[in-house]
Amino acid sequence: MKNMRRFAIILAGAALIGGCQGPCSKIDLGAPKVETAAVDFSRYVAVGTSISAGYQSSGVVDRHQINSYPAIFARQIGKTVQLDGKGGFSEPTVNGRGLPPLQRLLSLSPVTIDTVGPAGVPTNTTFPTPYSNLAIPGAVLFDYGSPALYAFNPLTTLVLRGLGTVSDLTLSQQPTFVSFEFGANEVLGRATRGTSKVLIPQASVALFGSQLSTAITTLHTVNPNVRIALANVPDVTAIPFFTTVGSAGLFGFVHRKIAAPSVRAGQDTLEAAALTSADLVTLLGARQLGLGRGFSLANPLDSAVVLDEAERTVISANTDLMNAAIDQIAQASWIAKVDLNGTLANIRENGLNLGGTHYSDAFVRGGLFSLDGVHPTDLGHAVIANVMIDAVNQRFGTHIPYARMEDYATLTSSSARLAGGENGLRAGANIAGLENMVHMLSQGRQ
Amino acid sequence: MNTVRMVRVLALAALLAPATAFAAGYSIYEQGAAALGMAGAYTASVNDASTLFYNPAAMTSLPGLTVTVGGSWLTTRNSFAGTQPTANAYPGFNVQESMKSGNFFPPHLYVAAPLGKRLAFGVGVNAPFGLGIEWENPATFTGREHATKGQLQTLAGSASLALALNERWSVSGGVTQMYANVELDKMNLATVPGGGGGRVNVASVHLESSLGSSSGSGMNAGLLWRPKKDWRVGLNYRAGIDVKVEDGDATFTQIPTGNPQFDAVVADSLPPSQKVATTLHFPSVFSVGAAWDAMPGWTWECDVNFTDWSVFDALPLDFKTTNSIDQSIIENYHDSYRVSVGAEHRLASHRYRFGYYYDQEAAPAQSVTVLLPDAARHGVTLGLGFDMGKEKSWTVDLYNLALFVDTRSTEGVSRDAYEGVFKAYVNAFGATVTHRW
Repeated sequence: MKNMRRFAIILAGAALIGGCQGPCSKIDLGAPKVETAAVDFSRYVAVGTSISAGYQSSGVVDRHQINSYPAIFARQIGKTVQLDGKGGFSEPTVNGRGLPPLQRLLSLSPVTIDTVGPAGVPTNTTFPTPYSNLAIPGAVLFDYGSPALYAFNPLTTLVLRGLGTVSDLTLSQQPTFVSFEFGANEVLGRATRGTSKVLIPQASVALFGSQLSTAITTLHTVNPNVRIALANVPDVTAIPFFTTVGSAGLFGFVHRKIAAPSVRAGQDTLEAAALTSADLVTLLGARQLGLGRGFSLANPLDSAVVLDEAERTVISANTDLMNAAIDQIAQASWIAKVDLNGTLANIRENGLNLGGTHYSDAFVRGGLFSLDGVHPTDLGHAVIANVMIDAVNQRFGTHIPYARMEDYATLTSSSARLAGGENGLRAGANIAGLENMVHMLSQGRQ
Repeated sequence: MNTVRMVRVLALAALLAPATAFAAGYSIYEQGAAALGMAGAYTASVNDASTLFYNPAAMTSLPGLTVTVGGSWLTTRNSFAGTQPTANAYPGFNVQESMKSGNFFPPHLYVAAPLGKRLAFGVGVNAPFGLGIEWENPATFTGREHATKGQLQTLAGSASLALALNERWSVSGGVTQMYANVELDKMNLATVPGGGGGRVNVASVHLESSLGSSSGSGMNAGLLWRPKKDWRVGLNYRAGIDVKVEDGDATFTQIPTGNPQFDAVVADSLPPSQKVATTLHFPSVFSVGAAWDAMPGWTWECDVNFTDWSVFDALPLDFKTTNSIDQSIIENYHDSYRVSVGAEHRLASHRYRFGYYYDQEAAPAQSVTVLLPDAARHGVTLGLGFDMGKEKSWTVDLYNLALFVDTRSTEGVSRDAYEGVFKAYVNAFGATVTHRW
């Protein structure tokens, strides 16, 4: 009986606590594995365009700047990224509603987007060293080494503070790692204005290869141990700014002005003609359609709000030329190519499945593009950051953990307002703020 | 308490008590304390009325009318941590989730009676299959679009007739009628238009069928062979059963987001509450075991069970009003086996038992989900039995099972694109009382 009692006690104990200390504990995988020994990330500098700057919904604001893809990458390699712009990865942050004030979605049917002031103000102007993120919205590669066009772009002052060129401030930090992203504005500035014309000779595609080679070579000459993540140029005509209205259902009965070539050089004129299936009506054209423009030859859409087939062909060819130059330079063992072009094409083709949700490049409802139809949302930036992480890991043998996408999926992509449901966007859409963005993309290039 | 009343109580208990899956897939092998003391290795050496479950052919070995009644107290701990094998993997590295701790009490009742010298008849009520999951914080649980709560309950009534062909051979045959109900809660999410990809809960979905309305039947058969005085070999087969649920209720309840325009869009797309049908597949199980009375007072047994889990290839959901949301959840389970070894040592005052079993997982990595996070498991059991009463006609058996479930990864191929690792631990403590007349 004594043995039985003892055994019963053992059984009861097992029933209550039966080895449950270890097996019952919740699973915890700890911190993600990080191996960065192959690359010195101690001084990371990001240069580029509005994409690298975290510009979205037609402005820059701190809460999105800290989620730009360079900032996300910096976070993944262990740097602090702060709302005040200070920290291990410093940025030219702007508070409040942003600069210019970001767009916000007011209504879904019809789609109504506005901007509200006042503009935010820079919050990190006294930071003692050049910023880690030197990306300038609207910049072309020419701007990297030359101040000639800086006066036309107030956001240049925000980023550079008159301390020198982008190149100067980059080299002065003796970077060990640089993300380099230029080229989009060489074509985007023109495309958003509905033209393929080269507006300034300095931003010509013919010069792009040599300017890029010089910039990259200089970085490597100054610091032979530098490693560079070099982004290529996306097909800008695949973004919602061009694809949302597009031409499907419009061609044939909507008209626009189109260049009528003249045999005399420089004397081309504009004439009204029916929209073709290859034309792309931009988001700017949505408002004109809503006002009744375009539905007769006598009242055509402005040429500036339509990217016609010939313009698309030129832009596509120029993008290919720039990407060929990038591919050639990215052969160097110290450069990892970040395939923005392939990423955008993949999203255009397949969207993005995250958990049980399908994201797409659709305007307003897709989740990946902000309200200006051009720039990524925070979630879009997380996609790019992970593409960059993949490129760096594969090229340099590091193990940088992926960013957790869900952390960057936000309820609002604009200034303040939680957006509502969605209805079709076509005629009647009223999207304010796009003019500011288009102007920003082609500052000083008229 | 008369027998009929006891059956009613047990049936009610089975209805009220959600079960959790303790063997691979969603089968429950914990059907008697004496059996579980030996890790369920009992097909050949069973000597109480739980023979109705483990091997009805052994009813011919029981000395007289035997009633076995009991149950288990089961506690469960389940947790999850995300992995990120690819850039877009969801929910992300080390995102941690937990299930509510479960406390379940599945019962069992068996009655076996001799019909002359060579025949025996028995009936039993138990819950041979079950599942119970409920994730904490359902409104924010990262897997809520797949399941926040799931419950599968069964109640099986079986009747078997056993015949002793001679002193060495006994056979049995019988039928099983099984009732089942299923319940599933989940959330519908939608991305906020114009937002940055953020998602909000827009509707809760509740699917439920009632236990009494859906049933299926199957046969069972057993064999007991005594090749030598100290050896017994048992075979047991329980046929698979399909339960067609025709009148389940699907309820879709909108969750207001605070934005009238968005809510109007959601309302337009939300299906009405309606009937839903499905078919629940319960696999056949074949068991073979050999028991050896190795030395005086000792019995050792080794069993192998094969379960035809490949029948669980899909879970169809046929909505009666909105056909566009019909779906067939692909599961593609594979057949699995369970190996158990147990021993009993009979002393003058009591018996003690111990055992171990390994239960192979049935789900492929693609089907390891928040609803069915199946994994292989290792069970370690201890048992105790003692007789009471003037003529020792009462027997009380106790067992404790520590079930160590392998940590299971979705291996980057999750059907639900919900990537991570699941961890579980189950402790079961049970008691069975047997009375022999």
